[in-house]
Amino acid sequence: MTTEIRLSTVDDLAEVLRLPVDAVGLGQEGCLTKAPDLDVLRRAADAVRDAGKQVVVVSPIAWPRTADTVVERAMAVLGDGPTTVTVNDLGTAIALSGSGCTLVAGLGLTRQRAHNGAVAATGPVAPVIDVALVDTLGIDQVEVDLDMQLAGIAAHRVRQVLDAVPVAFGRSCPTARHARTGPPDCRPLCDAPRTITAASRWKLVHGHREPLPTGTRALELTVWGNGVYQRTTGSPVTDYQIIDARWHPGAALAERVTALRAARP
Amino acid sequence: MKMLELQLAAGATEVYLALASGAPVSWDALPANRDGEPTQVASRATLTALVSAAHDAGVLVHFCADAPVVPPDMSDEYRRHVDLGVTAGADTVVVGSLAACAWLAGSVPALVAGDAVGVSSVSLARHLRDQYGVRRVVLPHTLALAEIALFCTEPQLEVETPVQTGAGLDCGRCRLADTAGIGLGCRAGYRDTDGVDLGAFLDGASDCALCDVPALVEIGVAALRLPGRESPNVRQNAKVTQMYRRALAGHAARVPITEVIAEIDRVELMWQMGWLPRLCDQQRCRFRDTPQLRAYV
Repeated sequence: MTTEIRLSTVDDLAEVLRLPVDAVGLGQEGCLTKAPDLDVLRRAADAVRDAGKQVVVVSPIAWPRTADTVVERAMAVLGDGPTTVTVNDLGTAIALSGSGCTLVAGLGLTRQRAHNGAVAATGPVAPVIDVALVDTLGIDQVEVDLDMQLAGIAAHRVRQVLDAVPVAFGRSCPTARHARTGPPDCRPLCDAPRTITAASRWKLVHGHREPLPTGTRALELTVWGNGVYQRTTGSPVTDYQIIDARWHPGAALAERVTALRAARP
Repeated sequence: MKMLELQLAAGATEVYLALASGAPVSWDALPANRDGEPTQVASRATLTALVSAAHDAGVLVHFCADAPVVPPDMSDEYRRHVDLGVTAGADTVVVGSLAACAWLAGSVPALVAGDAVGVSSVSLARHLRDQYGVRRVVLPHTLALAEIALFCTEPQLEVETPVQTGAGLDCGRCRLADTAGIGLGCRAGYRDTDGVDLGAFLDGASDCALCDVPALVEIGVAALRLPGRESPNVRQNAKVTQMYRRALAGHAARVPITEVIAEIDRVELMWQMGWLPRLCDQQRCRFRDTPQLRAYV
């Protein structure tokens, strides 16, 4: 059983290294601006290794202007010592294949949702893991969230991200946009979440927003920077579990680790 | 057929078609219905007729098989569906996943990597061309003009960019589309926990690229993708195509885009009622310096 704590910043790294966990993930899927700078990242990775824990670098989804930087940062850290890299876009995955690190397909790659094929359908089908994608990439470890069906993934080592599932990532960051700013000035804005609830819907046919139909199930989302999440309360079923520290501020993180360990068979 | 007729009259030179399959999942990048309207051609016979009509008009036909994921154990069914499009005479097959590139390379007339693939780096575009023979990439909605230009320098690779549709979210990773009772969650209105109306908090769409059509042509973009299957507004979509055709024709004739738009403004009621309040006044410009683009991560 492996427990990883994922940190989007290294501010609380010292406290996390004292917790009884096996691995520390550095970074998040959504945004390079929020990721630690290269020197900070390398020092943090060294500290994790020195503490006897595994280093996981979470590479953010790359865009044309950030793609080279995303790869360079990962390469620098893995050049310093054993490193696992969680990749969240195809370009980075291909660039790092054969680099010598352990590659894991992250939620930005694996969480896929096919569209409904039924004309009378009123909602989406359940998300599935893109098994063919990770097989094509030659990656044998995948990250999934607690809502994912694990059909077809038995031959792969599965890591489960607890607490929440990502439902969208903004290229145009909603948090930054709301504050009328952008990278790099927006960096402090996503240390706190914003909870939002859908109140009206937009109709393609006329292009206006209208009240939600009576009985519509509430859609509550949590926005951290450019990442949009839904909370989930499912139980993990695999032996590699990832706790995103953002959901457990302060002492709650240690309590979460303790509870998870106590629940182990 | 009506949509095809209107688009041809408006100046479209390529069209996208998708076919209903009866499978529980859609084999393309849209659900079988969106907002209650069908997005796919209902039968093989109709598909063949549409392809034939498009070819008679000299128009290229793309067959959409751009499902973002093919569920485990359904790849054979997917491939049979692709065969139907090829048999109907489609000129290209648009795919939506890396696995589909691998499955179909060399076995279809031409491969297009649709925006569901998420071609968000030039190195990936190169890989798709070199490894799978992909002829064209459809770029994500949310690329800046300078980023698109990087792709256009790649030899033997056509670049297509969507315009007049989009969202500030990364569409390839969005799970908010078709939320029950809500529809496109990216465009819904939201409130915070204090009940404050945040408006369309997640909607960073930068739709209109009309002013930048000359720039797109000059950097070498091969095709502009306009709303068709994505929207039920058949006549409005055709009007959009007509406006972009005017811009392309104006650029070819060396007429400044400002003059082209002034002419549109003079004659098109839709411009005055739709574009000006909804797009220009709201700064929903695809490539201009706006709050949407300044917030690009």
